[in-house]
Formats: sequence, C-alpha cells, structure tokens
Amino acid sequence: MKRVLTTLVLGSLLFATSAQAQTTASQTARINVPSILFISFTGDVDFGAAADADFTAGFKDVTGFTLTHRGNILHDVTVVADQAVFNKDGVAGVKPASDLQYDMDAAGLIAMPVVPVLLDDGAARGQHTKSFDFRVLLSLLNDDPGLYELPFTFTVSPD
Amino acid sequence: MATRCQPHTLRPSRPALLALAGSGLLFGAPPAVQGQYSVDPVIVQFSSSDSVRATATRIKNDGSQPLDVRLYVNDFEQDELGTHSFLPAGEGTRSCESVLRVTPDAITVPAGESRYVNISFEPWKGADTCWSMVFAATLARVPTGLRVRQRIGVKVYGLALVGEPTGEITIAEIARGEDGPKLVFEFENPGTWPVRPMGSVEIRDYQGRVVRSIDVRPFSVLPGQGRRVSVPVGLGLVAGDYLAVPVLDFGADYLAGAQVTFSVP
Repeated sequence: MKRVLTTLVLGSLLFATSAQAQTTASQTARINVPSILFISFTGDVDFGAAADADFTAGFKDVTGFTLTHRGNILHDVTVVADQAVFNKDGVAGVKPASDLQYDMDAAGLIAMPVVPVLLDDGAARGQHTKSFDFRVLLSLLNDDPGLYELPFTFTVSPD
Repeated sequence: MATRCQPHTLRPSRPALLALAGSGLLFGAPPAVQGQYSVDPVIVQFSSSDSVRATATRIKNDGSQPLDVRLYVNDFEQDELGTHSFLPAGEGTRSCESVLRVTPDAITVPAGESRYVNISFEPWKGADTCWSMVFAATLARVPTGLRVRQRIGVKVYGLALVGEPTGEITIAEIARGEDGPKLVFEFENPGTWPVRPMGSVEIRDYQGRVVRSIDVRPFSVLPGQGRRVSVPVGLGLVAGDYLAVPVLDFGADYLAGAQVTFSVP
C-alpha cells in the first residue's frame, strides 16, 4: 500500500512538474508616453533701489538667472514684454519696455521686445538651460521717482 | 554687471546687506524660483463628432511652493520656418475658439503634486480643420520688481470632417554655409488635416551605400501650408560626391521623399 501511495505521489509530482514546465505566462508592458513640456525660471528679477551711481552709469544690472526648459518633442521658446511700457506705481507709465534689456548666455544685451522673439527655435528633445542677466536703463531726466514694474513672459510651445 | 542674485558671488558688508535687504534685494537667500512645472499632453486632436468630447491635461508642479496657474485660449499661426505667432482667441485664420472650452480657468497645484484640467470640444463637424492653443500660465507672486510669467502652450486641433494625411516634398536643394552643406527642403501639406512628418535624411555615396543617416524629428505642418527644413549633411564626410535622400513618414500610406546630389570638397 505504501509503495502504491509513493508511486502515486511521485507520479503526481512528475505530472505537476511536467504541467508547470508547459505553462507560460505572457505579459505585455505598456506605458503611455504623452507629449510633455517643462519650464522653470529661477530668480526674482528685482533691481532693488536705484542709487546715484546707477543714474551716473545710466543703468543697473542684476545677473545670475536661469531658464530651464525640456520636453520630448521639438519646441520653441519665446520671450515678450506683457506691455509696451513699465507700470509706475501700479499704472501704465511712459518708461518703454525696451529700457529693460536681457543677455542670454552672454550673447549680448537685447531690448525686451513687445512682440514675441524666439530664444530657441525648434529646441531638440531633452533639457536645455539658458543663463540670463538683465539691465534696466536709467535716466535722471526721464525717470520720475516711483516703483516701476514690467511683467514679461517666457513661453514654451510644441512645434 | 553690478549685482548678482546668487549668494556666493557677492559678500556685501553688514550695513550694506541690511540696506539692500530693506530695498527688496535678498542677498544670502537662495534664488527664488518663479515656478517649475510641466504640462502633458501638449498636442491634442479632436475628430469630428456629434457629441461633446473632452481630454484631461495634467499640470505637474515640480516646485516647493503652491503654483497658481491660469488657463486661457489663444490662437496661433506658424510660418514656413516654424515660428509661432500668438493671437487673441478668435482672431486666428482657423480658430477653434467657438467650440473650445477649458475648465477650470484657474487652478492651484500644490507643491510636488499634479492637477488635471479639462479641455473639451463642442460638437464639431467643420469642413476645415481649426486650431488654437491653450496656455497654462503661472501667475506672478512677486510684489515688486519685474514679474516673470511663464506659460506652456497646448496645441489643440479640431480635425475637418473629411480628410486624410497628405503631403509631399516640393523642393529639395543644397545650400552652402560656413558650417558646410545643408539640405534644405520644403514639405507642403495640401490637405485639410495637420500632419507631423518625421523620418531621416540618408547620405549615400555613388555606389548606393548609406554612409550616414540623420534623424528628422517630428515637426508640424498646418493644413494648406508648408514648412522649410534645414538639415546639415556634410559633417564628418570625406571629400567626394554624395546623395542626400530625405524620407518622411507623415501618417499616410506612402512616404514623402526626394534626392539631391552634393559634393564635399
């Protein structure tokens, strides 16, 4: 009886082993990869208070800003002033947006445009970093005392 | 350049530091981040339908502060060089403004989290494709100074009821510049649907061997319009005569191609 049971158990094990050997588990890995874009600008573009020396120089600078953009598709990057003139004490003044200048990647100062200007045309897939410095032009004759503000916009859009 | 916002580059004296801090310049503090975020997907297509359709677009805040995002519709155009121009909603040549909705129009995304916005299309059976752009723009939080806005555009297309991907390379020529020969080709889309051609430029010698293959990444071509694409082809080639063969897949059941000879002296 014991031999019979042992034979049956061994037979069952062999059958089970054989059955397992013939079993396959098919899996399909899936991931949905959407078109994606990222943007980040580091730093508050705050010139603080202009001093007499700045007026003598005719400008004041702030430096050390970074724009990072990345994506898995070709994309464009533009910059534009949101308005043609600085606000002075909260209302539109007369100081032109072009009195703000930017220098991207130490390529030279460019007046802030009032229509979008390409900073990167068809940027390749991957991550891109650009350095920015800013200069505001100052004039004793034209700049009345007050708080001047000029919003501007970086745009990333898919090609 | 006079001042620098990175703390390790300037070491003003204590009285100077206090004065500057009082005026709003924050030396010694880490650079503020105006917002760092991503949006996906950034290309959305709606086909013709009798019913309202919608898709969710995700905004992911990668920053350490809550991010206020405003959502709004603009129109856009894209010239043959691929440069975009942005117009108020409804002023584009083929605006989707009348059938495109974005909800909500403002959202706060907690730090490190994602939120979804709904881009929906009213019933649409246009004879022509329409296109617009939904912007996800950050709101400025800086109380003084130059407020920097950031925005990411989502292209939205409403496909014409009848259409199919169409296109061809109409011009292909070699332009010589300071950095060597470039293949310049024009891809025209005479159809009613937008297309996104992609492919490669094969460089072959006169024995027919492919000596190099240069990727052409997907680029958009609006209906009835064209794009001019420039691809450097001479880098690293030994002197000799070659063929530049652009081959583009734009979603049709055929490919667009051309062939141009050029020499490397």
